[in-house]
Amino acid sequence: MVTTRTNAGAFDRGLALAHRYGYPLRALVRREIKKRYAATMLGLGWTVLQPLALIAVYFFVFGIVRGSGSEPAETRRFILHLLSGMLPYLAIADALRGATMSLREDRAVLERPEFPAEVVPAARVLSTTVAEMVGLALLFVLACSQGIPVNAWVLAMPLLVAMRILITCGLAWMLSTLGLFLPDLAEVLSFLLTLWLFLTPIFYNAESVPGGLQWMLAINPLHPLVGAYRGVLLENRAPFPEFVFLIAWAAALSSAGLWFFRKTLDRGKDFL
Amino acid sequence: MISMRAEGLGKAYRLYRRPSDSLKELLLNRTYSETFWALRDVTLEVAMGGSLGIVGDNGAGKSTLVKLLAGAIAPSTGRVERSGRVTAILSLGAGFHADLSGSENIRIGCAVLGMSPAETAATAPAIADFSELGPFLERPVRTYSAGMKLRLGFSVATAVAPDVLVLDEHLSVGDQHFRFKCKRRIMALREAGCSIVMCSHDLHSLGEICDRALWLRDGTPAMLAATEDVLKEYQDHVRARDTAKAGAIRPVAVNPETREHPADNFLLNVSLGGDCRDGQIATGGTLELRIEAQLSEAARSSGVHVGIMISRNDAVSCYGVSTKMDDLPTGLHPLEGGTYGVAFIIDQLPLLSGQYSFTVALMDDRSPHLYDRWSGAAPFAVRHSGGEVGVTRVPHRWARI
Repeated sequence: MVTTRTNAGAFDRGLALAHRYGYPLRALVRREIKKRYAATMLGLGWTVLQPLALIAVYFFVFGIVRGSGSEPAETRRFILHLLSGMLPYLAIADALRGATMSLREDRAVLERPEFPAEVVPAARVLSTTVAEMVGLALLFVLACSQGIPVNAWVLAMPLLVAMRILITCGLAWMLSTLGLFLPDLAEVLSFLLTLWLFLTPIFYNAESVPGGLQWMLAINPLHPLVGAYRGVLLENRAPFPEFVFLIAWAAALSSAGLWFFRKTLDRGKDFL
Repeated sequence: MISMRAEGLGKAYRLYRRPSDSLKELLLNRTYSETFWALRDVTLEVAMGGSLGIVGDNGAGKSTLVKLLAGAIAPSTGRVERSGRVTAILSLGAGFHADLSGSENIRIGCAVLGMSPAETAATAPAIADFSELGPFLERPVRTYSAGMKLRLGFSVATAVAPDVLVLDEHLSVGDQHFRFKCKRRIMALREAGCSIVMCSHDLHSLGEICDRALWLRDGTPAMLAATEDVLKEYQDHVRARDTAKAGAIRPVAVNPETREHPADNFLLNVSLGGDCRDGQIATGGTLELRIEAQLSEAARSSGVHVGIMISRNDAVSCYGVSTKMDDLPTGLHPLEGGTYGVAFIIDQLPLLSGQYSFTVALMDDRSPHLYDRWSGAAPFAVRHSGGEVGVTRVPHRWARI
């Protein structure tokens, strides 16, 4: 009986949490997606067109311009390899750029004490997932067409994306309030994001990183993330041991991000 | 029942050379700022269904207080307790997304107010209806005029009857028709038991809507009482302030002991009597001004008369008259001790609320020569009950036509 009651309590708490955050989050995510494409003619079509355009550019650059010397199948493999790294990176970069400005943009929302402010940067993160999903679906189709065997681990993809979202949310919470104190953050961020891209084995292999610099991969959450995406989508294997690191990163970054956000928000509001 | 209670509420803004210093302060636990108190020591209660107006000069802390009460910013000292659903209209028209349509913004606004999808669906038509935006609701908010954004904002904010409505200076915007509608809705909410907290420079609206008022002066509460009383005090202050700004002469109380006066003929003393107690009198009371002067024999034989002028503290001349204008044969009467005097009596003081003072002059009958004059003498404050406005109570009646 006691256990049942505790379970019911936990369930009620979960329900209350979903009630408090669920609909505000849904409404803001929906707004973000609409806002992004509202003024465009093609509207939601861009969620498909953008990853398609990216793929086309890679095929043009690596397949036609640069690929003249190498094996075509080899080049196509390389492009898939590249895409599996770029898709999560682009989603993160896009989300963090949006999150940095989010509190300024939504200052009117922050004036409502009953509205959970954590939702504001989180909505920016979740809305960028749409483009990532579409891109991943296209990547999957391309991989199949290249004869890469499909395996059951693909079903773990949503879990990997969830880890990606948690990691991004943690960073987004930190950057959003930091953006209030540091007006120059948006400018610095685009530089940092480029740096991050090149410090992660996306364009090159992890093995080519010199032994003295391997520690940089160990402190880079994007490295196991890209590894897990590739393992599942392209390498026909279980996302281990990367997934263990991802859980650790997701737990650490999201809780640290949330703590920092709550600690600094009230101070930051004074600068709105 | 209390719907909102603030205790020892204060807000200090720390002034930083740059915003990042605030972060440094938080993380390093050292001070990198100067403190500026925008608001201090506010303690107030708003009863369930009660209404509170906040008045004060620009920069007195009105908006800060309203934001604190609404919970939009965190207080530095003290606390606010709220009960029930609090809706604040702090920045009308802000929070809308320019590229999204009016109806999309209504849905988001409802979510932000904490409504569930079902509640939103149920309320949205009423909001659309009240806003009177009709076909414009399907257009992006970017294409709206300021007044239209305001209509949308007010409609969303008041769609679901809140327990407390907090308003920051909005009723003076928008067109006549919508302003009227807004005020009607506020009154309807109030009658339905919703508490209202508002700050405004529109003292008339404030007087109509609020039963209590708080006057903030440089961030501290100067007066918290019935709206009528607070507004009268505040208006006294506004008149004095505006006059000072305009560079007009402000009446200064005169001390007869230390005053330098002309050689032979001068005013000795001017004092108040009648119903006036400690410089306070109610409209309709008897006001008596006693004037005492020293006169030489030569001046007296030539004839001396006395003039008075009542002025309000914003330099408005309310009424002036002299013994000569009233055809009195003699201006001053002999008193014991060789001085002369006269009393000026208003049996039913018609002046309305305000701060007033007398200018008293001693003049020669046969020439425009002025022997002596006191400005700002015998200051007194008048209070009337009721809602009349202006300088004096004018005898009148209303009739069928």
